[in-house]
Amino acid sequence: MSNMKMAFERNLLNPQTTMDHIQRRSMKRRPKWLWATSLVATLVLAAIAYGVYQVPTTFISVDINPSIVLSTNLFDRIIHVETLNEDAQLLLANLNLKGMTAEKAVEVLAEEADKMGYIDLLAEEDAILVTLYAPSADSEAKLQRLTERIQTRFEERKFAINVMTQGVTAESKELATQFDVSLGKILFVDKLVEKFPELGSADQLYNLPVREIMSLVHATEGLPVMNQAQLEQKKQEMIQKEEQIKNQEQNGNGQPNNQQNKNSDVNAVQTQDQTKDQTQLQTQDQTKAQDQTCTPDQDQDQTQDQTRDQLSKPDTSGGTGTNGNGS
Amino acid sequence: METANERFEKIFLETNEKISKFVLFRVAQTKDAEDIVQEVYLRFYQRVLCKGKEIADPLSYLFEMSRNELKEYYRFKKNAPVLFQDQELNLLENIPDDSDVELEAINRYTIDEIWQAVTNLDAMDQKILGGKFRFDMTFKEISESTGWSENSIKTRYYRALAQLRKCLKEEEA
Repeated sequence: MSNMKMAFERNLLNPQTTMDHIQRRSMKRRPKWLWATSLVATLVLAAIAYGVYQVPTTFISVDINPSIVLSTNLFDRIIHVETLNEDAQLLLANLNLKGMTAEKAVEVLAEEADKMGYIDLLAEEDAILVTLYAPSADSEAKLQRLTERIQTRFEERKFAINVMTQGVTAESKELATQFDVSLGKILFVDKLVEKFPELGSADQLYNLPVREIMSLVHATEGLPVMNQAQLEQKKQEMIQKEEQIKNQEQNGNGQPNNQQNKNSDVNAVQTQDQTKDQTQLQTQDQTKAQDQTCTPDQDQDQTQDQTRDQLSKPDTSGGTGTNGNGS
Repeated sequence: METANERFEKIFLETNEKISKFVLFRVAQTKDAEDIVQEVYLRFYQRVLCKGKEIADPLSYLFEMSRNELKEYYRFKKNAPVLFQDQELNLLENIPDDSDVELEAINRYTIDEIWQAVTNLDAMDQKILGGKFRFDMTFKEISESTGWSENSIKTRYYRALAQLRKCLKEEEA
């Protein structure tokens, strides 16, 4: 055979090359069951990841006058937002805090509250009270880091904010075991009951889902039913009114800082780091500090009245409250 | 009982030459012919033999698969077989007497050198030479496959040989 022929035999449409190609491609085929298994495994992992992402690990209550409770997940990202009063609903209108870091969410809330006239962030005697609830004794270090991050963010902006961490007490641990719920939930419910005694005994609430508990809170407080548009409109009106007041102050009309805008129920409390197995004394300390001006219940009524006066709006209809935006 | 692999090998050996010849003159490049032939046999193996389907006439079945594959090739690659204007090669040039000498000269080079020079030729030249040297086709058969006149095929063939020899000389130099 000539070289010319061999050159074509070897290089053009060589049968052996074709067979090799088919063998290679055939070996690469994965059995169908492997595809199905991979798909199922992927879906399961995605579901687990989603579940882990949605599990609340820390509760953060933000008390300005609007009272808001934030739930964060393992990654310190906001996954739930609960409002405890009407002002909180207004504050959260057109705000979406889900997915934000905890410190960012607190900052956003503070800015919105400032815009709406709930607080004057530049006044030293006022403060935003942020309480972090540890779901377990192991997360104290995490709470400490979160505390520092929140404080740092506000230090840079020279805002007056106090951040407290609510540690785990022996009693809380026992309750968590008894009712088979997380420590965070125990502490959260205890705070609600302290704030809203009308809810009754905390024991009856520990096993209820958080949403159901919040519904009871709203029903107890008689929060008005407002749709999203109404909330946003009312919020916008409050912001505009606050801007007018600030402009007047800047123009030197001689009017003192409008005390009605301030949240007089939250005072500067010394920053404390709560440690494990502290007794109810710390709760008493909080109450004592607040009693310097007025009681929590009085605060709430007082502030709501002030808000209504500012708006000069007719009362909205009563009924079961709904969560504000972001919950 | 024959396994799928054994059946495939048997059918492949019986049909490969015909399918390859059929495809070679219907594509733009020789490389495309290889890709299509491989794809045809791969699909035949996976979708027919591996699934235990019985085919009465494998050759006709493979021809049909090749036609389908060529349709896809024309559609997506926008490559149609090069349609030479046969009038261009209507000159009845004298067939050179030294055609055997050309071949003899070319055969002095190594297989790799020859093939390297072949890849530098025009696509149609490659296919004509391929038809002659790979599949031992006559000029008449190549003429029937391409739709050209036999004279055009011969002319093209000898021109290709001359060009090939020239390339090899230049490479050697």
